[in-house]
Amino acid sequence: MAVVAATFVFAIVGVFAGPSDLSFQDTYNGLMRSDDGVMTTVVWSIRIPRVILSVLVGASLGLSGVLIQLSTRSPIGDPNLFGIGGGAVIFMAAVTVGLISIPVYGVFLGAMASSLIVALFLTALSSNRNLTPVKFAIMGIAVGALMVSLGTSVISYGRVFPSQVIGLVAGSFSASSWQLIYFLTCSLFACLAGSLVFSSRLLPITLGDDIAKSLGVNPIKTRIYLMSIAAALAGSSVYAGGLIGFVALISPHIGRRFVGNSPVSLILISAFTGGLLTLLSDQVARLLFAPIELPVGLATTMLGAPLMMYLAWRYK
Amino acid sequence: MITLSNAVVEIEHLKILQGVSFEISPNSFYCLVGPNGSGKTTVLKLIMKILQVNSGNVDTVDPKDISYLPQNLPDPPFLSVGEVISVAIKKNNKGSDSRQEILDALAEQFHLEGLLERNFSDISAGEKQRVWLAFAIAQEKDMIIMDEPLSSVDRNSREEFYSLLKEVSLEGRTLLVVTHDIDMALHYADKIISLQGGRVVFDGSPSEFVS
Repeated sequence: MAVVAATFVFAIVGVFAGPSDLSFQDTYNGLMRSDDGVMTTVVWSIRIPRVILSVLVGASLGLSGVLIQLSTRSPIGDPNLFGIGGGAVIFMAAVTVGLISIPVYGVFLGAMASSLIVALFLTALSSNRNLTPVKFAIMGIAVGALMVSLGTSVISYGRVFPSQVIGLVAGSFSASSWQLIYFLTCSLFACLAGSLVFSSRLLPITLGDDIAKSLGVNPIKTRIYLMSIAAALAGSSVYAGGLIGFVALISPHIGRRFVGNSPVSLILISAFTGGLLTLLSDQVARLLFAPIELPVGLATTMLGAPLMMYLAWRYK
Repeated sequence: MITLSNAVVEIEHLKILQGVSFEISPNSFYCLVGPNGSGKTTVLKLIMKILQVNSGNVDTVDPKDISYLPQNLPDPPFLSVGEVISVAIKKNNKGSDSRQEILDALAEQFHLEGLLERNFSDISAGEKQRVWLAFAIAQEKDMIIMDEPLSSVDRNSREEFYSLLKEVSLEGRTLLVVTHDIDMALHYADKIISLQGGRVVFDGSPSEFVS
């Protein structure tokens, strides 16, 4: 509950704070649409979409992270660290430089499909009986680095604006819109429903494949389902906000401290924690050196990396 | 009832089992003994349908109906001791109020009272085996198969856990336990099956085994 409440509080702060020099009263007027001028546009077309989108993207990442961590038994499971988001980066880069030209919803679906390809490759790897979670993590990180370098290569080939490059590989919500919110809402809630359907299988596969089987859970099929959901979430988050690191990795660890490992609670708290962290990071990225914006991925990394170090230090 | 008849398993041209035949009949405590590399684990994998025979026949039940504890289980990440055991209880017990009671009873039986809140990966090897043992029993299945479940448990407690397994079998469940502990097998098992070089060299009661 505290996480949900904090999300709302910071969402309101996010709407009222910004680089345009608006007073509280101005923003309030904009919010109430009491004029048809600049305030209404700033509030309803820039600030509110941005706040909502950062929460949706963060929630997608948090959910994606918990699914990957439980299904691969790796505490550092993160779609953007393991190249699943990177698959979408390559696709988005190809769209940005004009190599691929398709309608908007096609780009959205294409980003998810590209992530799915990488996720299924990793799933095939993780189903090898001799692959320990540590080896899997090392291979995932290698795949992740490969994906980002391929994506960056595509961008370099296209000679696009540096801001677009940074937005894609380091994350940005500066292009938030109601259409993006619509897409992300659809993907997030579909994936959340899917995760809840499979929630009873999460702990059995965390106990290892042999035990899962004797509990009546097919580990390979379950992992394919869960990783596919995680990929859809990662792909849609890259589509909406670029590559945002560490949110997926740390959200489940933070959430677990509040609710333990009860699967449904853990799924929900990971999503909410991800949403809150991303919202906070985006506000920091937006306001710290206003009017110059930092890429939100840098802010999440500045927040996430020390937290991860703390968790690793405490983890036995 | 589980029946192996003339089961042969070859892995990379190495004959692991060269014609193994035996029967596991219900409501008994079986110990499977034999030196390293004699094919004990392979037999369990056949019963669990993890491996297939090259020739011969295995007549077994659905692996879902067997509570199976393989050797050297990897540590489950994230979970506490209590959460690990609860996964097994949840599968069979829908009434949520009694779940905690079952967990507490198991904790007492397996001397895990102070450990339920601890992280699974933080406890000692012997403690982990006791958790897995509780996990296997908690599933409440008629058939329990375990591969050296007590190898890291100290000698004094081992005796106690074997008598606990004996009680479980007296409740009408079937146990097949792989062990190096001939003493324990002689004392507690109803039947002993001994493997050597991929063949059954003995199949009978403990008293026959001695002579």
